[in-house]
Amino acid sequence: MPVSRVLPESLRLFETREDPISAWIMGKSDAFHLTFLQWHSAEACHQWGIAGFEALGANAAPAIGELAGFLHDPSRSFDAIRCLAPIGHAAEAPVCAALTNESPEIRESAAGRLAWVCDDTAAYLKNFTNCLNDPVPMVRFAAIRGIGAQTNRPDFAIPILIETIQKYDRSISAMAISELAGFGTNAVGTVPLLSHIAMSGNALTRYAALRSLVAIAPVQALPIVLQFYRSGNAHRRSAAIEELRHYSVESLEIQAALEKPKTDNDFGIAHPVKDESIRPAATNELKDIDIPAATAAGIK
Amino acid sequence: MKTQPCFIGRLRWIGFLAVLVLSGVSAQADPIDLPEKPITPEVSFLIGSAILLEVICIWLILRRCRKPRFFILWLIGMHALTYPGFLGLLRLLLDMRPAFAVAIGEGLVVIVEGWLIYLICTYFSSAKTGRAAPSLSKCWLASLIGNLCSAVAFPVLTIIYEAFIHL
Repeated sequence: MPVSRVLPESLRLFETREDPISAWIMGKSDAFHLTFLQWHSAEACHQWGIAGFEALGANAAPAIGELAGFLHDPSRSFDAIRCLAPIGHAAEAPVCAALTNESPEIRESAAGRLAWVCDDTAAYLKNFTNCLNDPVPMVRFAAIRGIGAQTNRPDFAIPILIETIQKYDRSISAMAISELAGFGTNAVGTVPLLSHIAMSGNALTRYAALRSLVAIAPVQALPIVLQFYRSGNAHRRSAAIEELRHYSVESLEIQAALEKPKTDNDFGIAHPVKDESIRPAATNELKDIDIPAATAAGIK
Repeated sequence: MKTQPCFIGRLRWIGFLAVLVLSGVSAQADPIDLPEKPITPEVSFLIGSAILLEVICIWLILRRCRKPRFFILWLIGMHALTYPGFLGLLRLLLDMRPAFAVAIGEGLVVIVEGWLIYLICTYFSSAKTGRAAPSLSKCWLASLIGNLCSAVAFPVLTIIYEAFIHL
């Protein structure tokens, strides 16, 4: 079907609202067991409209005006942003305008999709900073999740996340650190920063940094994980054991590390290891790596 | 002594056949009886009353025109054709909103029924009465008013049934 026909149809479906007569007819069709009359509810039509816009992507640009009109309709504004975001840069103005909407849900939705519509880093940073200063935490977190979801644009997203880690503290910083994990080896440049945070950060950022380190560079992270494991602090030991599960258990040192906590007096450390059902299958990430050498290099 | 194994073998066969035949009985044993509201009386009442109301409306509008004998029966019989047609049309219009689909269906029913009434009054009535057969426009008007009455009455009849008949 050509786009010229799909676009108006998607818009018509998106606009669909339940009317009392249709609701009554659908109710009676069901009540009278008229199984051959399978009517579509207004909500189903509305969801198909959203799916249509998501599939159309940038081809839906001619409908920006109509979709922007729905931003003032409380019952449709949230979904209007869902339809606007896949259009991309052309929908930047209405999505950015939604960042100042009075409803926190709308602001959250717009903040989470900001990276979809902002191509220019400077423009993105300006709006992103506004989101991070939003009084509602879920808007701030949505903005960070939004940038963290841009795993296919590491050159764009990682510097912004690093700047966020350095500028903000505690919860926002911890969330930005966690989002770095999604970039995997593309974020290997952040290892020194994450190592520093893991060793000297506050309680919130420290464990987030450890988790991201293991995801980004497991070999470089192993000495830090083992150092956490040997710590006298129960929380650190618990976090270390949690991360050691991502390593291959073929390493004798890791095997010992996973076995020893079974006798740990701290229930929080001993219990998860005893419960084999929650223990994920060991990964083979370190199969070809000389773990004793890596450990010796990092830990005295 | 030789008959013993043969007797046991037959007994086994009978037992096997009994299990085979009676397994169907055990499958139906103690079915869970789900209480369900019977719909046939309500559907019959609603459709019957709506059609009767429509027929009376048409008969009243065309009472001074030439009509065949048992005109009301002709009109009721006509619905045996148009009502399944209406449901079939709704089946084709399922992608539309129900209110819109029903409106289109009713509009087509008005046109088809008006045309059928015109044919009935023109070709199946006796000319001896001295009355003129109704014009096509008058038949369409009668059909429109009849169907409007029936459509408006349908929800009212539902309320009446639920309030007074199905206690």
